[in-house]
Amino acid sequence: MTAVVLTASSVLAHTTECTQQPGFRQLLHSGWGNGVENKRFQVHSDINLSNVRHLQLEWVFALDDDMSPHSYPVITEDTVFIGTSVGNLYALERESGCTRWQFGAGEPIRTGITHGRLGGRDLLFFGTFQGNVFAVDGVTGQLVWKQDVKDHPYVMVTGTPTYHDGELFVPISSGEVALAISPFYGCCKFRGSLVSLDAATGATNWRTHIIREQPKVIGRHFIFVEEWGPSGAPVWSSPTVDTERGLVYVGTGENYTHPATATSDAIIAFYTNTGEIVWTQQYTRGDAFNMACGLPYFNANCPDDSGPDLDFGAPPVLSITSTGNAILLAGQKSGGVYGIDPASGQRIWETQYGRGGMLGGVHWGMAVNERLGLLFAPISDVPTGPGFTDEADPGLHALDITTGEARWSAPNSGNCEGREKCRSGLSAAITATDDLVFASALDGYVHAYDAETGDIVWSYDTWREFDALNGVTARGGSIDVHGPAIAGKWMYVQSGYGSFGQQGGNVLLAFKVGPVHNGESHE
Amino acid sequence: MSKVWANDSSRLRWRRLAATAIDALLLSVTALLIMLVTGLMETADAYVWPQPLVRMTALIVICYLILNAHGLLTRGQTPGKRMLGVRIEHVTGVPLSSALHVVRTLGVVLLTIVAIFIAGGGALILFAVDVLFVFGARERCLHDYLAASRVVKAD
Repeated sequence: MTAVVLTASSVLAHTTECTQQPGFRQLLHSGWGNGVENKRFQVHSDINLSNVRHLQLEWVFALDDDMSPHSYPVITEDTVFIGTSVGNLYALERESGCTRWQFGAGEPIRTGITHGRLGGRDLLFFGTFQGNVFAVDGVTGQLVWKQDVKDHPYVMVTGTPTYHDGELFVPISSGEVALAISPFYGCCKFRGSLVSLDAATGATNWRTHIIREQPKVIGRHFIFVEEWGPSGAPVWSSPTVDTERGLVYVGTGENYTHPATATSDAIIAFYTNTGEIVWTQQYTRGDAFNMACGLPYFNANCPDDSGPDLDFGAPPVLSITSTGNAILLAGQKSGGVYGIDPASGQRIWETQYGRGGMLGGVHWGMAVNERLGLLFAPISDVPTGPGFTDEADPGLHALDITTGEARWSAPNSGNCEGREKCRSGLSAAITATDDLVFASALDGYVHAYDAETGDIVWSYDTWREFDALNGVTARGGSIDVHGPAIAGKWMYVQSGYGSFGQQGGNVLLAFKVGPVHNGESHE
Repeated sequence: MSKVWANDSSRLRWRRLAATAIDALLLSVTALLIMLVTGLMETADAYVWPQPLVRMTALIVICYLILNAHGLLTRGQTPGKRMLGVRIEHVTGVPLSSALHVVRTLGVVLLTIVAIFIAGGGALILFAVDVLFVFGARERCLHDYLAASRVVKAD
C-alpha cells in the first residue's frame, strides 16, 4: 500500500486556558505501558486501517521544555496530562489543547505520567531527574505527596512508575554513569534498585537493590582517587506487574565498574509484596561500562576490558501465547529479542534483529497485539562507536509471540536528506492498536503500519516549526523516548528529542481522525 | 622610586606575560595536588549543584593565597614575578595596600570563575582580555586599573 504523507498547512486558533476541571469517568490511557503488563496496546482506539489516512493535525502545544521532552501522557475522556523537563505537569483539554490546570514540580519531570485511583481519588504519579516521586490530584492539580527515593546523590527516576493495587513500583537509575567522565571522581557507588511505595502516602514499603553487595574500594588511579565496585545495574524503564503470580519484572542496565555482577543487563522478577528477588536471567555478562569509556583521553574511570553497554532500556512485556500460556517478552539494546517463562525466567526463544548498539537495537519499548499473536520490535541501530561494526538494519519487525518466528519486517532507512542531526531508525517506544502499529522515527516522521503486513499506511513529518496554540515558538525534530499515545480518535506525539546529538524540539502534536475543519467527514 | 622601564616596555610586557604563565601553572599544579590529596571532587556530593562552583572557587582562592599572599604583601611579587624580576606597586610608586592587592588579584579571578560557571568555558576570554590590556599604551592590565597598580622592574 502506498504511504500517505500529510503536512499540515495551518493549525486552528484556540484559546489557551479553560476552566473546567478534568474528568475521570473514562480512563483511556493509563500510563507508559497503558496497563501494568506494559503491552502498549490500545483497546480504546477509533483509529483503524479504514480511516487512518484521514488522521490530521488538530492542535499543537509548545512544551516549556529544554528541547528534549521526556514525558508521556495519561488520557481521560476529556483531558491529556503531560509533563515537561522544566517541571510542569499540564492538564490539557483533549479537543482544544487549552490548559485546565498546571502543576509546578520545581524539578524536571523525567518519566511518563501514571494514573491510580485511591479512595475515590484520581492520582497522577511521576518521577523526576532529582530522584523524587510526586503524587498530584488529577482533578485539582494539587500536590498530594512528594517522596525522595534517593539512596545516592545522583539517583534519577527515568522509568515511569507503575501503579497497582495501592502500590507504586518505582525504578531507580542514576546519572553516576555520566559523572564518571570526571577523572577526579571516585567511580562508582550507585546500585540500581526497585522501590515499592504506598501510593496513598508515598511511604516506602520496600527497596531491593539489584546488586546485593555494598561497593568496596577495588583500586586507585592518580595515586589518590579511589575506584569502587560493584556498581551500576540501574533500572531505566517502567516495571511490569504480573497480578496472577504476584511478581513484578524489570530490565536492568550495565555495571558501571568491575566486578561485573550477574544482575546487570538482566531481566529480574521480584515478589510484589516483599521485594524479594525470585529469579534473575542475565543476557550479557561482564558488561562494565560508563561514559568515561567514550573519552579519548582522561578516561581513568573507564573500567579495564569495558563492556558494550547493552542495557535493557525497554521494559519486559507480559503477554500470552497462542496456547494460552503467559510469556514475558524482552528486547535488549543488542537487538536481541527474547521470549521468557515468567514463572522460572527460563528462555523459551530468542532472536536477533539488526546490529544493536549503545542506543539500541531495541531502545525504549515494544508493543504486542495478542489478537494477531504478534510482538512488534522497533530497531534503532544508531551508529554508536567502534564496537558495533556489523551492518545496521533499522526498522520495525513483527514476531510470533509464541515462537519468536519473524512475520514481517519494515526497514526504516530514514528521510534525512538536508537535515542535520538526523538519523534513520526507530528508537522511541511504539504503540499498537487492533489493526495498526504507530511508530515514530529519529528522522521526525510518525508512521502508521498495517499490523498484519507491515505496510506503511500513513506518515507525517514533524521535523519543522509549528504555530503553537499557546503562543510559544515550537519546533519538531527527532522523535525518541516514549513515542505516540492513542486515545479514541486522537493520537498525541511529542517531537524533538535533542539528547544524543539529535534534533531537539518542544512540541506536543494532537492528531485526530473524523470530521475535518472544512466540514468534510472522512469517516 | 622605581623605574618603569619606559625605554624597554616591550621586554617588560613579555616578562609580565611569562610571569603570569608561571603563576598559572603553579596554581594549577597546586590545586590539582590539593584536590587529589583531599578528595575534594571524589564524591558524588561534590558534583551536586552548586557544590562544584563552591568547591572549585574555594580551592582556587586557597591555593592562590598559599602561593602568593606572603610574597605580594611583603615584596609585591608572586613567584612568577619574582623569577622574572618584576614587582607590583601603586601608581604613585608606593607599595600596594593589602586591600588593593585583594581587589587586584581576586577581583578578576572570582569574576572569571563565576562567569565560567554561568557562561561556560567561553568566559575564559575574560582572562585573555585582562592580560592583553598590557599591550595598551599604558602597559597596564585590566586588574591594574581596578587596583590603581602598575608593574615595574624589581630593584
